[in-house]
Amino acid sequence: MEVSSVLKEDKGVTIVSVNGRIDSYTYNIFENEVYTNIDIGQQKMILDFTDVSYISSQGLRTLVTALKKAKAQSGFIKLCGLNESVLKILKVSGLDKALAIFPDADTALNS
Amino acid sequence: MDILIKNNFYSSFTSIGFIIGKLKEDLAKLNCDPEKINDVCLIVDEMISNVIKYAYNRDKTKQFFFESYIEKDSLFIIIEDSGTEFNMIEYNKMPDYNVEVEDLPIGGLGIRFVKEVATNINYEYTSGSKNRLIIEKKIL
Repeated sequence: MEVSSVLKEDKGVTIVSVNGRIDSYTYNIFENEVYTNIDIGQQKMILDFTDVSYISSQGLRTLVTALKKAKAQSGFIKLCGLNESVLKILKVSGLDKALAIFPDADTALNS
Repeated sequence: MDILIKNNFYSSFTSIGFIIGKLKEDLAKLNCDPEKINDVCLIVDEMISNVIKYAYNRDKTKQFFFESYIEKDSLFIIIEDSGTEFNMIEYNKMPDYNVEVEDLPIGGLGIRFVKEVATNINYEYTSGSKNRLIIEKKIL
């Protein structure tokens, strides 16, 4: 799994692109990137999941914790590019109600 | 019956990576629907994670037994561990996400996911004091 962050300075928002599976074997890579962004003051994030094939409960655990950390520092986390599998997981968990979900990064950025 | 995997594994997340990798490869050869492959990966990931975290308290010296085989149009997954008796079928707690962000619960979803995607789940606490889970997933 690969993760990379790009700061959109004009908007003050960081776009985090994730590629691969977020599961119990790989979640720490995702977690490190997102938590580090928050720790260095980039707590406004858009997580681009266009290339995320699958997320497990461990990945959701990381997402929820990141959401709380970002909110505590007046930031936010938005999600975009979710495929059917990932959306299904969010709906089954009920977490879709707590998340801001967009079709793509541009829509999320301009919302 | 086609046996895909049958072995004891150490209680480590590396084992999950190996098992998922092998199953993905084998199921892809059968032209299995990608969504069903994802469901199988989810089942394996969630159930073995629970064994590692809760049955074995992340003790990497402990081992669990894992078997998967195909019979007719289903994949069967058998997981055995020697942790405290725990019947996941009777576990029905579900976190409530209809709250403010600050109050969002963390965790408690793995079993829920598996129940959602599995075709059938059977559990027994064996005479050898092992938790034995048999999960069926229709794949073809």
